[in-house]
Amino acid sequence: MGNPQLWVSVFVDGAFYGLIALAYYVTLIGSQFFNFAIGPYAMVTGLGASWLVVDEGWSLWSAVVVMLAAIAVLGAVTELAVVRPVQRRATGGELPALVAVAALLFAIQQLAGEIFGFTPLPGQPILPTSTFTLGSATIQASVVPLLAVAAAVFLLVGLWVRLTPTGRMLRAVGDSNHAARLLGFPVNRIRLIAFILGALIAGLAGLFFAPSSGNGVNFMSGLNWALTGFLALVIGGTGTVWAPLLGGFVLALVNIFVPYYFGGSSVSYVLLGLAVVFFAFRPEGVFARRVRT
Amino acid sequence: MGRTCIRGANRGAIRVASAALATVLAASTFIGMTAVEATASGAATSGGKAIVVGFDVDQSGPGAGYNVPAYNVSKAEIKQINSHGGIKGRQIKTVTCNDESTPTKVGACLQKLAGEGAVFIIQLTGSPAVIQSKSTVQKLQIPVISSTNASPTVPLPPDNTYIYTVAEPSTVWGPAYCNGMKRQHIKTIALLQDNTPTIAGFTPPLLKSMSCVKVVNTQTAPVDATNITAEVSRLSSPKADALMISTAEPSFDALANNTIKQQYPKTKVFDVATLCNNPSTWKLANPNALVGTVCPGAIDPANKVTQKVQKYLKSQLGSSFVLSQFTAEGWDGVNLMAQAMRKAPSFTGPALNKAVQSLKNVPSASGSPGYTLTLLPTKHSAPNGPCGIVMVQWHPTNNKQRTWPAYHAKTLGC
Repeated sequence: MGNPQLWVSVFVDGAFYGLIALAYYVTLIGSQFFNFAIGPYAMVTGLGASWLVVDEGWSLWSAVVVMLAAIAVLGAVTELAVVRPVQRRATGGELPALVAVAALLFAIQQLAGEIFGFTPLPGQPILPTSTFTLGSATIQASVVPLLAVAAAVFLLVGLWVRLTPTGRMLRAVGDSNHAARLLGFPVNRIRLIAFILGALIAGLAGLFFAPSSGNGVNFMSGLNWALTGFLALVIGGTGTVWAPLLGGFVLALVNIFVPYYFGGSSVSYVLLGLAVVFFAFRPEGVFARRVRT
Repeated sequence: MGRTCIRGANRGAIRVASAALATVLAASTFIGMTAVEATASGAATSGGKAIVVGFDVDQSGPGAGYNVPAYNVSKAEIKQINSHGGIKGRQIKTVTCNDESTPTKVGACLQKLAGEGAVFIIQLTGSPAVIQSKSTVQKLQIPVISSTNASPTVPLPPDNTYIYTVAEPSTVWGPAYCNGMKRQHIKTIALLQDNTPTIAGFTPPLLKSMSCVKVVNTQTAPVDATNITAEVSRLSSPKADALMISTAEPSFDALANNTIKQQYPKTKVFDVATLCNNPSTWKLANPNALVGTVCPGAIDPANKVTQKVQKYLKSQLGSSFVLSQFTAEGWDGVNLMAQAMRKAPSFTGPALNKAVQSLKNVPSASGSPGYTLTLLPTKHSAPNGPCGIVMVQWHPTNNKQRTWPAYHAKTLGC
């Protein structure tokens, strides 16, 4: 574990997984719903920005702004056109809406392939530093921006959830939808805000991770990122805003050091084992939410 | 005073989400298995009924990176044939099916193309799908040219009556690599490969043909990995004279080069043809990450057929188009098909097949000057000798390749 380059990879992957898990977290506490389309949101933002810059000749910042706006709209559409109507028809049952979002996940992937192409595109470095070395580790130009954005997003979301009226209402709706309605909270508006904010966080993750991912971004990345982010949230739990970040780093540690010690094919088995352990014995994750009774 | 308890606030939600997760994974398998799609594009017929040619293409799977460009070139060539009056006065109409290089889908694709009236099929897909398709091709009795496939087993029995390959088989690559490796005193290599069935089938015959070196270390990483730092770190022990990358996925190839350059900047690196012959994917690599890497290219600017084909394709596909191995194979496959159609007395499967088996010394759009292709009843692999391979090296930037200085083609008879 003394190889510094491996630790750089842990921080990069951990920050990305943590952001995806945070996107799940925000949507979950604001709507009590796991939005599996989070992974494709990240993919669409990263791939779309690359396509606009590389194939369509746009400037980077125009592409970033447009794709973040687009993904916010997609998040809103997911809630308004898919989740809410299905949940209403299913009279509150969770599974139909989850299956509907799973179908949406594949639809978004396929549509991204049709629009942006089926071949990978290089991620676009945003606010890059120059490549430098730290000891024997090489720090690529996109690493520091990713880590900085991850830290900033977690900090801002944490402050927003604790200190702002909307943030507190988000937590209230997440604790009990029914009680929040009885208290007159604008539950539907809060849910919509949760979906949009989750989509934006996922979009930022996709934008800043794409140049760090080492092999560009392609339309198939969404499912993998959706599953990885979900596992990171399961590991970290939902007890605090920072719990998804812990889950992300635990997952990154496994993804980097297990192949290092046991070979590339072993990581799937270890991840499966980790998932089973948490689902079976600690489904609430490392940090569970506590409420006074 | 209230009692604080762990509500396990989302235990219930996590249970339901886990059920949905299982649904997602099941759905992805189901959707992956059923996404066989066929599209048709036709040229307006003039002077008779159109000749239907089927394309079995990986348009969105792991081999899309090199098969889609080959498909675009194939269609451009058919456009040229049609603009010159077609074949015997009949226009060519194409129908296409996307098999995503998946063995379970290719049979359905071929059946679909046959059902649409295809009298000849061009295959642009990964080796596992091609190998799986042989029995179906044998039953359909429609000639199939598998233009981009380099697996040496495809043109061999059993079930090879109607199937042909255009690419230099990977067994020829070995002597080409060794031609230069011996000059550089490389005796051991460490191998980094992806985990796909394509590479699992492709790499062992390749390594067997590289008799000049011994593989002392093999690391396998997931083809969709975004970080292979760990696997690349393991390549350092036991140490080898050079590193080799084997993958069919351009993005994995770029990632491997990026990571290797980061950790072993001075080590000699060899690659297979994936990124090498796909110029549109070179931008995935970090700046200068490819410089120095050696790979089996196929384009020698001195080849006059290459020059002519390149000029036409630039006019059709854009001035930035660069002919590469896979696109040249796409061109050669359609060229062989067209020549067979012109020779055949009719468009039945057996008649076309017999015509295919009489094509001799057809100039290729790739390889050294004078490199030709021949197909016979007992020779279903078209290359005449090893001169279809030109070992190249990225130099001095990621965007340019030169012939590898250590490679002396003349010693191979080219």
